[in-house]
Amino acid sequence: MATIVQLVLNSLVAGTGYGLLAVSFAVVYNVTHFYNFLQAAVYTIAAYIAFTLLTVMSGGAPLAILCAVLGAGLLGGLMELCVYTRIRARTGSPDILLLTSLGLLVALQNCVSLVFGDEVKMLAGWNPREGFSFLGGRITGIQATTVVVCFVLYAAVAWGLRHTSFGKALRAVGSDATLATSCGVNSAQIIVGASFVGSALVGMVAVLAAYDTGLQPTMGFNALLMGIVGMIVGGIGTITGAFVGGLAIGFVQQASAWLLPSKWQDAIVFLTLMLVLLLRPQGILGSAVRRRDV
Amino acid sequence: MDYILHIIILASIYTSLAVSLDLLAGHAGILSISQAAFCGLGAYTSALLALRFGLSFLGGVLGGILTATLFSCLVSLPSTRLRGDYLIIATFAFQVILFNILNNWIELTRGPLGITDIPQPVILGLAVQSQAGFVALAAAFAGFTYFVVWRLAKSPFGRVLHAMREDQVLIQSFRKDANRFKVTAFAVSAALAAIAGSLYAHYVTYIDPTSFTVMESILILSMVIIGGPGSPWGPLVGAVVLVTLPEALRFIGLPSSVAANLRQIFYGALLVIMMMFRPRGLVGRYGFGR
Repeated sequence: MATIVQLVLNSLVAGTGYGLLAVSFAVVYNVTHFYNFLQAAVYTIAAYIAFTLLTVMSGGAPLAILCAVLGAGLLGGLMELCVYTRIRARTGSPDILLLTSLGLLVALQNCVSLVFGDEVKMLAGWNPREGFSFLGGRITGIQATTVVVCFVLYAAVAWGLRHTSFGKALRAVGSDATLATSCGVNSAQIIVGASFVGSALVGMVAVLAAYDTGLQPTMGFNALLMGIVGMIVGGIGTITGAFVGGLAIGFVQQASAWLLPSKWQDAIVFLTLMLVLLLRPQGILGSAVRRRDV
Repeated sequence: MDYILHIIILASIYTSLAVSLDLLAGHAGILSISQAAFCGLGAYTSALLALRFGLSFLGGVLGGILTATLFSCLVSLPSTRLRGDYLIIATFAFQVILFNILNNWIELTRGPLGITDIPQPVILGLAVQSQAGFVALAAAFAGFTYFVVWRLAKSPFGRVLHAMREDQVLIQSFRKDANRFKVTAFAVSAALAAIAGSLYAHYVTYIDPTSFTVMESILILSMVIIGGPGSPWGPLVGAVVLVTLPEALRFIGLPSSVAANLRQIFYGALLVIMMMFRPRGLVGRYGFGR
């Protein structure tokens, strides 16, 4: 019983993080329709902004978290505005955009590694790593915070997409950018806005993860993999699907670590992705596969 | 002098890899982020065959080709049902899984420790030991890869690939089985990459999983894209530029850790600049994926 509770707790901690990552990728993907690998660099840079403010300059936690989240959002939005928008004006090919984002990721990740080094770093200050008991399982303060924050932010995004004018415009651009533009929605602006929101969410997850397990220049890349897998497994096009997909990936990962040596976690997660792509390409909650590019 | 020969050998091996990927990325229009994985399959298969079973170099190369071709079906299998961006993610997933196997299946691959003392190649009783001998061998392999891809691109098979890149529905309406062409292109591309991998393993005589990471796959893809996908000289130009230009960093006298990062930053920045201002590549004729 205790192991089951522990497994569920671990899955929740990992899964809500992946879930919110998948949601943040989905927010951007649904309007831009390409895999933006830049998000991995955004994740890493957000964590290192927090690291610089907290550990290097020993600033306060609220300010550091705010700066990291805003910095992440600005980086994502700026890259959209300065790089992707220009390329989209020329070709509009999702492959070109994907390659560009790969280039940005490689360059930015190595900039971080150049400045801060490759060794694992820790965030100073508020450090709630002592665990407490919960229904027979153990969970640390930061892990409980991660679960709560990720759930709340997911709910906020899902609500915002339905009930705010920005959210409605975002969904309109996502389903048909030309039609939305002809109805008076400024698509370019909406896409920049979506990039800002998506990247800021990525930054939030990054700071939480940095508190929990420390920082490394490659952290963003691993997070991006889980986020993309969560988004696809859950079903492209739906925000709730993305969150559920992230939870599912968290569960698969923790369950596999329970049955097999934990070094096989990544392989198992990607094997799950391959199986989902083969057997149910539309994902858990997705409707029919998008046939746009047939 | 040895240093210059070393660079020429590396450039030849990367040319083979870039050309092999060009069959998929340039000619068939399938972006694949798994070329380093196939290269690694070739390298590990021939190294293990040589060390555990005493197989000759050419036997190891053949083993690598077989393994890579078999594994390529694991990627092309989903490619028959997926298209566009799903497929990119499938190749990506394969790359991650394969790296994990190389890194974690300690009993077979010795994991992060890598495989040491791989024998230098002996071809038809002739041992290749000198740098100059390796230059000849690597250039011959690159030439062979070039020849295979060039012949295929000119053949009716290649014309179907080109048509598929432009419009898959159209060629299906001509009763061409697009899936068969995709699976074949994947298999040939993987086999050619595996040959380059075997050569690499027997040249450096030491391999570990860090040579076959996602980043390496991205580098090989960058060579194709920066050079010019689907064009005769594109992959060659891309490989030579991306292998030789960062070597200039060595002469500025930077510490090796800084140089490694700067090299990656150079690749990344070059890829972004090319995509923004010249998406068809340095010597390419048409852009990728319109």
